[in-house]
Amino acid sequence: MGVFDRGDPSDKDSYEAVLEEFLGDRGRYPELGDALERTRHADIEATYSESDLPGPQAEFSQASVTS
Amino acid sequence: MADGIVVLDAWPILEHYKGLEPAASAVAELFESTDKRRVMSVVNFTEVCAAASVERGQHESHRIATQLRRLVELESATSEVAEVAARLKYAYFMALGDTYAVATALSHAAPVWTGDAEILCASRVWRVRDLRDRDMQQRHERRRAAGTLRVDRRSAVARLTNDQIAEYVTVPLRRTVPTT
Repeated sequence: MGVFDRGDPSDKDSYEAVLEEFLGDRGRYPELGDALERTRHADIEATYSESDLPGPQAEFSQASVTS
Repeated sequence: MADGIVVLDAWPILEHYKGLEPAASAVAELFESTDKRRVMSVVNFTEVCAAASVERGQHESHRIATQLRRLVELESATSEVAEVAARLKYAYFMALGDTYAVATALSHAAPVWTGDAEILCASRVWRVRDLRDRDMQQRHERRRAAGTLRVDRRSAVARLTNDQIAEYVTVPLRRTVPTT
């Protein structure tokens, strides 16, 4: 699996210092997050419409699903 | 089942910074635990950083990124996970970030923690922990009923069974390299 960076709880002092800072930030940005919903909604709407898809089950024989 | 692994969507991390329950307490408890791995796709990490950049600026976004690098295993996608994400994008009304959260969870046989309505859709074939409060659940249900929130499967796969959908989206994870 392609892990390029990871939290390392074995580095106890550093991990706990960052965790303390993180927990202290709870509620720090009450307005944060609307951008995520807007971006995701726009992504879904921008993806090809239903009419662009193949007809219902057109390519989904059991063989094509599992091959 | 990988009960020792939790895959985090961007949603609960942002809820923590917003201070909203029940997600904030759930995230705090998870990060304080010593018996669970916390995994997040780099795509969802991007979503957190992008939201912070847009709404709080580059300095705060970098501060959040620095925290998450220490607290969470940030996982880049293998080509197999990316193909699962593509299949999810085809079969469901999901944003790209949704598909990477789910594909990462499927690759670990782990639950994805979220409050995102698309990931929590009724026709899902993956494990979740729903971190929405009752008000948000009701708001999502009202929007779904009114047709302003599209969730679940696209028409091309609407009639497939759950087993068929699960088979279809996870095929790339089961491919093996032929040996000579």
